[in-house]
Amino acid sequence: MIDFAKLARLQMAFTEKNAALRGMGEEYRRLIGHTARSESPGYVQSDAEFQRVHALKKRIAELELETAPLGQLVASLERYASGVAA
Amino acid sequence: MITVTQLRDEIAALKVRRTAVLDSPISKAERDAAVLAWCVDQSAAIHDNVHHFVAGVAYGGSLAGLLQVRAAQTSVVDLAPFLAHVIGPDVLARSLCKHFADTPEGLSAAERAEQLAAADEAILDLELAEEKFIVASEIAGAPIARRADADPRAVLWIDPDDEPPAIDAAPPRPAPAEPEKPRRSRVVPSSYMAGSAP
Repeated sequence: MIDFAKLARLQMAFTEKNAALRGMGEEYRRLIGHTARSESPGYVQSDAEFQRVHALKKRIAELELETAPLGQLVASLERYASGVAA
Repeated sequence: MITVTQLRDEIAALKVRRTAVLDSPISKAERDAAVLAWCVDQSAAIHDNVHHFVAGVAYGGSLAGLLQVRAAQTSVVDLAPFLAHVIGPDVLARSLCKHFADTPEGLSAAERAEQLAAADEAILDLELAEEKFIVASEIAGAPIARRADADPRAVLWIDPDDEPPAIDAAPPRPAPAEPEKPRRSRVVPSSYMAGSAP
C-alpha cells in the first residue's frame, strides 16, 4: 500500500521550498533593481544593500541545494505512485 | 548504532557492485554461442546467391565470379557471408573463438540475474532501513533530507508483510554532464534570481 499521506507531505514540503525560493528570487530582483539580464554590481547603491544582496544570494543557493533533490525525489515518487495505482 | 551516512555509504557501495555485475563479460559458452549464431546468420545471408552458382554447375555453368568482390575504393567489402558459407559457420565460429581463448570467464545469464536480484534485494533492505532512520529522525525533530535517488518503494511502501510492487522501468541514465562553456559576463547562477524558475 502506498503511503499517500507521506507523498502529500513531501509534495507540500517541495511546494513550500519552491515558493520560498520564488519569493527570495523576487526580493533579489527588487534589490538589484533591474532584470538579471542586465545585472551589474554597479546598480547596488550602498554597502548595506550590497551585503543584503550577497546574503540573499547565499540563502538562495543553500535553499536550492535542498529543493532540487527534493523536487527530483517527489517526481520519482509521483511516477511510482501513479504506476502502482494504474 | 549505525548512522544514516553509513547506510548511504553501504547503499552506494552495493550500487557500484551491482553496476560491476551489469558490466561484467558474458560467459565463454554464451559468447561462443553468440559468435556461432552470427556466423550462421552470415552464411544464411549468402545462401541463395551461392546456391544459384552451384546449381548452375550441374548444367555446365561456371563458378567464376562466385568469390569475386567488385567494389569501389571507398566502399566496404564484407567477406563474412562468403567465408561463413564456404567454410561453414561452425568452422568460422571455432576459428574466431580461438582469439578469445585468453579472455576471462564471465557470468552466465542465470548467474548475472541471480547476482543482480541479490544486490537489488540487499539495496532495498538498506534503503528501507535508511527510510526508517529518516522517519525516526523526523519524529525526534531532527529531519534528514532524503536522497533524490531514493527508491520510491522504500519511501512510500507501508505494508511490511507485502512485497512492494516493482518499479516499472529503470530510471533513465543521466546524460553525461557537458563541460561548462566559458562565459565572459557575470552570470546569475540561479534561475530563481533570473525570474525564470519552473
